[in-house]
Amino acid sequence: MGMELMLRAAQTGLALRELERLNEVSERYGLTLSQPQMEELIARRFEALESTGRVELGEGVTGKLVFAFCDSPYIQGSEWLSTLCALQDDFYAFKSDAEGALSDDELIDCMKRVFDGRAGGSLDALENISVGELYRAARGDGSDDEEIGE
Amino acid sequence: MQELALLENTGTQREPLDDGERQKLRAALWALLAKRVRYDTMGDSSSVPVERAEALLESVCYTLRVYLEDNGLDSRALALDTLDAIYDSALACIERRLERARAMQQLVAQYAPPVASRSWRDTVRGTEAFFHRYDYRVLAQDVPCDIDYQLCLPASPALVGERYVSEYLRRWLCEIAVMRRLDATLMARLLHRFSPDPEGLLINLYEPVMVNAVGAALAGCSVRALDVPPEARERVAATFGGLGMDALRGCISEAARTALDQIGASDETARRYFTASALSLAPRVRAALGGDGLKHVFVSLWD
Repeated sequence: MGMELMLRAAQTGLALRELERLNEVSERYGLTLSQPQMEELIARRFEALESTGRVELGEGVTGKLVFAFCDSPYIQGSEWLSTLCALQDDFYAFKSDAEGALSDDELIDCMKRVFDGRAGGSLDALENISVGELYRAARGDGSDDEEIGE
Repeated sequence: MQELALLENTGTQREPLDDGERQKLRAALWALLAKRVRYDTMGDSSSVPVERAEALLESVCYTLRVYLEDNGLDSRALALDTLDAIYDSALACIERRLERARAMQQLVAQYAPPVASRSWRDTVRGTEAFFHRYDYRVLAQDVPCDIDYQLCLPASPALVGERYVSEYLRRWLCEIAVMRRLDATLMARLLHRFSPDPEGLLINLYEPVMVNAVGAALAGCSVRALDVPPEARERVAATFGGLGMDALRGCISEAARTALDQIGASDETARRYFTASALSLAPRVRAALGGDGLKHVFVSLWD
């Protein structure tokens, strides 16, 4: 059995418990996940890791994404799951591109800043941002209010 | 994942781990691996490329296996809730081994070979560099150095990390233990008879010395002279030409003992290494006895 599959069994329970706990935080903003939605989000996390050739040990970043983005003015309850799935995909893709240059926390912070700022809540715009723009967002260079493409 | 399989089977050949024990061991391993990933990424990343995670896992498994084997334990000793304390003890095991390996490398560095072999010199430097580059806390299975000098009896390629380097240095010291008992000028002459460029080519300096020492002993000549002239080769052919392989090996083993006694080599490890390398000669000697003769095996220094 590959390493990824062995780890998955151990991590799923851990991730579910964390998401249940974070529902208590995100519901203040009208955003919650049902049990099936949590399971789907976790499954999508493993798919994203596999597609980017990565392995995650410990708690992972899903909880951090939930916590960071739940107060975004651009996310509605009906879109919470799909948005989180897209953010997971983007996070691991950016992580692979910028290996070692940005910590998990820095990357999530950049993504949030761009999403709420120049991307105007557009997941497509966030997905298409370059690593260089992420670095600049990390350094606070340029205006976060400037829309992408302008 | 070779090291994981080796770890799970350490000392359990008669009674393999059951599923429950294996799951408990793996759960503890994943927790330990998560900590090693945090160490490797300085806490900045919860995910790493698969290849990096596999390398870190191999390192953890190899390190724990060193601990088990050094302490005569089997893998059941790892079926615990946490492996943190054992892992720390395992790192200490490797640190002690590294100290012993460092001492061996320093002994190698002190010996001046009979010819200025480039690969010898580069490998002395390479093995010294190993101790600066080897990060056993991250990739204990690596051998981050260049080892060009070929030993007569190579260290097993199945060995990894410090174990490989230690075994390599141990064998190198066995070769040096014999060479240092012989005249350097004669050895240099022998090596130039044996090879057109013993300094530049990747040859083992000990092997021609060992071969001629055994040949001299077989012929009843002085081993210290390192010379096997044509008449000596004829005596060897006449005496041993009709022997089967087993009998020939017995004679070579006896000649090895004679050679070691004549030069006063007393170290038991070096003596065993010399005898094993002499026995590796047997097929060549037997083929030469039945063919062109021994002039391509045992070298004359003065003809």
